[in-house]
Amino acid sequence: MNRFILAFLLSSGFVLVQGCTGTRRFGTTLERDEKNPCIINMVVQVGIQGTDADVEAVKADLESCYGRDCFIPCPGDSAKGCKTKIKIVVKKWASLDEDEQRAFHYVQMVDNDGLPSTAYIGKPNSTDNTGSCIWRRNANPGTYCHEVLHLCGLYDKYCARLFDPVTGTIITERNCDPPPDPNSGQCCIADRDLKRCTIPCAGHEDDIMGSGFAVLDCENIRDVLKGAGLDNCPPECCGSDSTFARPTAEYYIIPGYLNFGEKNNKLGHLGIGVGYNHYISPSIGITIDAGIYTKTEKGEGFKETSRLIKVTGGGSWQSAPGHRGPVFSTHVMAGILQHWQRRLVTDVGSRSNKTFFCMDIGAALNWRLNRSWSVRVLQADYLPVFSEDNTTHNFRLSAGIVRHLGR
Amino acid sequence: MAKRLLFILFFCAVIVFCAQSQAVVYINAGSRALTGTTQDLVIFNNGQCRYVLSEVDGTVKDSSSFSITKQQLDSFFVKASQVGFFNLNNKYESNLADGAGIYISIDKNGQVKAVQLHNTDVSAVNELITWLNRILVPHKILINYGQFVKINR
Repeated sequence: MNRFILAFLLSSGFVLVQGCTGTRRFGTTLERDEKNPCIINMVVQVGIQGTDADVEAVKADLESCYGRDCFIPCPGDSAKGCKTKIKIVVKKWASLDEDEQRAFHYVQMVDNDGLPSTAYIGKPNSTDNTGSCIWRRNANPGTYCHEVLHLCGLYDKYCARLFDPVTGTIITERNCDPPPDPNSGQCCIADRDLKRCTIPCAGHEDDIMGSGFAVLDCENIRDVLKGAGLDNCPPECCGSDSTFARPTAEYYIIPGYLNFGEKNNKLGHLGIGVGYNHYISPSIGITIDAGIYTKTEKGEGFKETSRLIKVTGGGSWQSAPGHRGPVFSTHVMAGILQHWQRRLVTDVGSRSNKTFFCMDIGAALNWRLNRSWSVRVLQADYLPVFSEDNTTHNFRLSAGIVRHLGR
Repeated sequence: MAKRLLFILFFCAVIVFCAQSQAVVYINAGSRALTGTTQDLVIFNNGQCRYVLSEVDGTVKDSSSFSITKQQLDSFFVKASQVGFFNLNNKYESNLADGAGIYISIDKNGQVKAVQLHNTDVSAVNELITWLNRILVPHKILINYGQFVKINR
């Protein structure tokens, strides 16, 4: 009985310590969120045997790579589903106590000698972190990101061949798994000039595990979750109100008012703006925005017509989208603004047509009505316009409708 | 008649040249991943050597041609026999992904053997490459397949 109480106290203490320090038990933890079954948490803990600068460099590289959410659709309705939350914890190995070290992947930093970094194939939710990695300092962006996927259980997805000039034969360095290798099993062409060659396995041409030029994709995260049987959105999520909306493309039409360098005029240009937003993650999107705005001023023997055409493109961010209710978004874009002007004074006319570089930094508030439509309650844009002589500070106010595609 | 004689002489010269420039040692050391650098060293039976340092995508970072003496080449063959290179397995691998490795192929008077290492140490190979690196010092070449970095845990 005493042993039972002792064991209970020890395990409670361990859980308490874990809870207080925020450290997970495993190097790679994959779990459904305790509060929301629609959130799948992925936590990777990396212990760096190196300098403080190494810790900061690795942390920055991994955060830029893994700072994204991924969407997992419900079986019956692909418009809603679960979302992953990824957290990469990077700490100095020496700062961890013995218990914590067991829950961290060990990474030894060494100077960059041109050789690649290494990692072992980890197993999510496993306490076996006895493997060790060697990472080179100042590695190419994406290198540590690739190695962490190994720690999460993923294998490389490329094949490699080597030409041996002594025997004149081609040697297999590695094969695709599952087979076959591309090019009818030949993989790539190694010869007297290019003695070692690599090529991504079929279907992995844009995969960070198959190509040195690719970046992390949500497909990689889904592969990691698959290893732990969490690559699905369960009924307890899909049947609840806690689901997340699939990030889909949207376009908008927003009539608005554009104030363009008109310090002395009471009224600016009126017109209409249209835009298209393609979400690459639930929160991050690529946006293009265009608009045409006109203004006419009349007086005795005087008429001035002015037209502005704006075309910009850039990135946008939106707060976690629900099916209904408010969604806040911001955007930063760059592009051109064309200003056409015709002036008529006592029947003598003059025209001018100028094109400027401009930026568009703004925010918008949408009210989601249903899966297909939102009302853009207000969009405010700051539009600095750059000319050779000076920079003018302009703004635009708009409101309109948003149509969500892909339903 | 003279033309035919010239042709035969030329043909013989080609054969002699080819016979003399038979590759007898090939080393490929370095990256076993999608990034990093790879070293290629080919040694011919007349002592001629060709060295190329390149990125995985084939971009050449450095290359040179030089020669080693017959004695140096023979000493390398003797060392290979001494360390038991010809009795090694064909492949040695660790469970690590990416990283570095080496492929060594030797033709010692018709006795041909090739050995691959990936993210692991084999003392016979280390000893042989240490010997080779000594020979290559004047040419400022150091064959590196990760043998200089040890896990310190």
